Amino acid sequence: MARPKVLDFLGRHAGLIGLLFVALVIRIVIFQNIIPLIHTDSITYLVLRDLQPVRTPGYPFFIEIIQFFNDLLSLTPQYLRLIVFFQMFLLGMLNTYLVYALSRILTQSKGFGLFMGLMFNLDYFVIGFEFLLLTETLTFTFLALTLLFYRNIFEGKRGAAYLAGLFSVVLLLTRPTFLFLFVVLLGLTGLVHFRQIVKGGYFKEYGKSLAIFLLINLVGIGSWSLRNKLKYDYFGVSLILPYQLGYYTTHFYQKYKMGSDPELDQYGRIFLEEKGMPYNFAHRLSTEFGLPDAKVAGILGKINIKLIKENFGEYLKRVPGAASDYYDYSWYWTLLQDKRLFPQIKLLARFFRMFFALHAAMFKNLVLLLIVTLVVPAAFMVTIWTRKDRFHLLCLLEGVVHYNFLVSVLLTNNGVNNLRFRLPVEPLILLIFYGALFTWGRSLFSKVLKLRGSKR
Amino acid sequence: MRKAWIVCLVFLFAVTGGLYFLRRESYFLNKNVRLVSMRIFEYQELSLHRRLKYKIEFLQDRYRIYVLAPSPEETWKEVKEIRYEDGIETNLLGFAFEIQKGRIISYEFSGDRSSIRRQVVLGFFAPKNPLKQSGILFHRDGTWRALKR
Repeated sequence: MARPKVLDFLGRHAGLIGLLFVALVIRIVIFQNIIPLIHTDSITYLVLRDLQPVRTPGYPFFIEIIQFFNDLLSLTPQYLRLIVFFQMFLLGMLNTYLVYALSRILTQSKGFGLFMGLMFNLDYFVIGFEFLLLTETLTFTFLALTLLFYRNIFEGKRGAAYLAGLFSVVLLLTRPTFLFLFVVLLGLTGLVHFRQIVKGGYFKEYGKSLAIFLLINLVGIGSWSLRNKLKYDYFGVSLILPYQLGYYTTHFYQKYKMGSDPELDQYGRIFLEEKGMPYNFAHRLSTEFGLPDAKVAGILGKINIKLIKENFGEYLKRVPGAASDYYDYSWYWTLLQDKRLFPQIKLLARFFRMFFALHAAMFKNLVLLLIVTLVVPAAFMVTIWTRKDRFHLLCLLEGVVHYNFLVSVLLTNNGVNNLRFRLPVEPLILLIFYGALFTWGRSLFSKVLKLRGSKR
Repeated sequence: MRKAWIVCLVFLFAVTGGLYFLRRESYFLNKNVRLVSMRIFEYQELSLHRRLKYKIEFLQDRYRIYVLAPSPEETWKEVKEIRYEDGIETNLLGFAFEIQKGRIISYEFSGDRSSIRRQVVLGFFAPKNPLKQSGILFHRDGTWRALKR
């Protein structure tokens, strides 16, 4: 008698089903013991129609969809808890699968995929953000989906270009940091496939898909920028950049030199009075001069650029500190919850602490950090250089990791916020590192087995 | 597989659209309470972060948010005026509360500061169907919660 298809499916995917079950149990345990808290950034996402020009609509739209169904079905008046529920049980579970999928593709090993999926769920630094009302969890979801579907373009999968483009646009509308990710992905693809491009026939095979991916990104960016132009008289995705740069210039605001631009100087005086604090400066410009948000951001941007240009050394001096904050390792963002949560989940907390100790040791030591983020990935690239599909994915993952680092560190110097900016690529950093160790270990193991076999 | 996706999406839209038409009144009542609640969260957090005092005042068809200007003025300046959704009205005209350091510190009824007994319900209803109500429950100690409809 033929085995039922369902049993066949369950048999083939037993490991993944087991992993998702473990992920679900962990989240049930955590969800019962947390109280959603609001951060000053969270309040800017709660009401989509109140969207500020510094914000992009991705996360507020996600919240709005959840609340739409809540309003329609009268599910619960615990709005924040509902958002966290979806972040944990929808996004968290999906992210578990995405980490498994990326890990499996990178190492061609289901077992390693399951291991990384489990590691993801025991990494409290990452999953702790699932119960915070911030964009990090959703950002990782869209980032991983973009990478998976972008890779699928080169597997010849129909529709992959459309989905990769769509998720790339949704990603940058959730996190403007990823505005130029599509350029990075296309550039890296060009580098990896350079020989094929030169040989010829490459664009016949992939040109249409890559053009679709590029076009969707440009249309997405252009549409949102046009909306901002019509609403705020500003053609761009977000007004946030001058405020982010302000976290650098606030350290040497007093070096602002008057006299070179009379129009700018009238605002420069206020900039000095407010000690270079970007939001205080913006508040005064909008109340005293009645300037709209786009104009204020433009002025702040000009002042920041002028300060950085004229005091480039001061700016450069602070970049290592921003980098150090970016690669710090702490549970700062979940501290208020930990005190309540950990006594209730003693066994799970032990695993959380174990992985914290391991990863903190890796990230807080400069030598180990360089090994984890640079040396091992570079060596891994050399190892799988001949495996073009895996090598391409590895280059894309590394590209995303370093792109996020450069954008976050060069544009913002804001202590624990820099730490938070690393979160969407943290699972990728770990999967590359552990993927390399696994690949070398597997290779060594098979060589040992071969040697034993030949000796017999 | 593609057909299955399309069928699922069409089905989802159809069901959502049907529910919207059947439960339109409840939807807007819930949405109204939700938006008011989210804005209370917002101004509680802002009062903590910016160290300012805010006041939210509920009128028949709208509510206003004020900020207390710093000294020497010490007057209430209007920050925002928001209409309730879909013609909804409130049953507690002139109800207001002040927010400071992240919590509600006092209540007012038509400009009169008074303490409430134990709790008060700020109710919302659609004039076409005033029996259907939704609201927010405020306690004397400044805590509050949205009520399930």
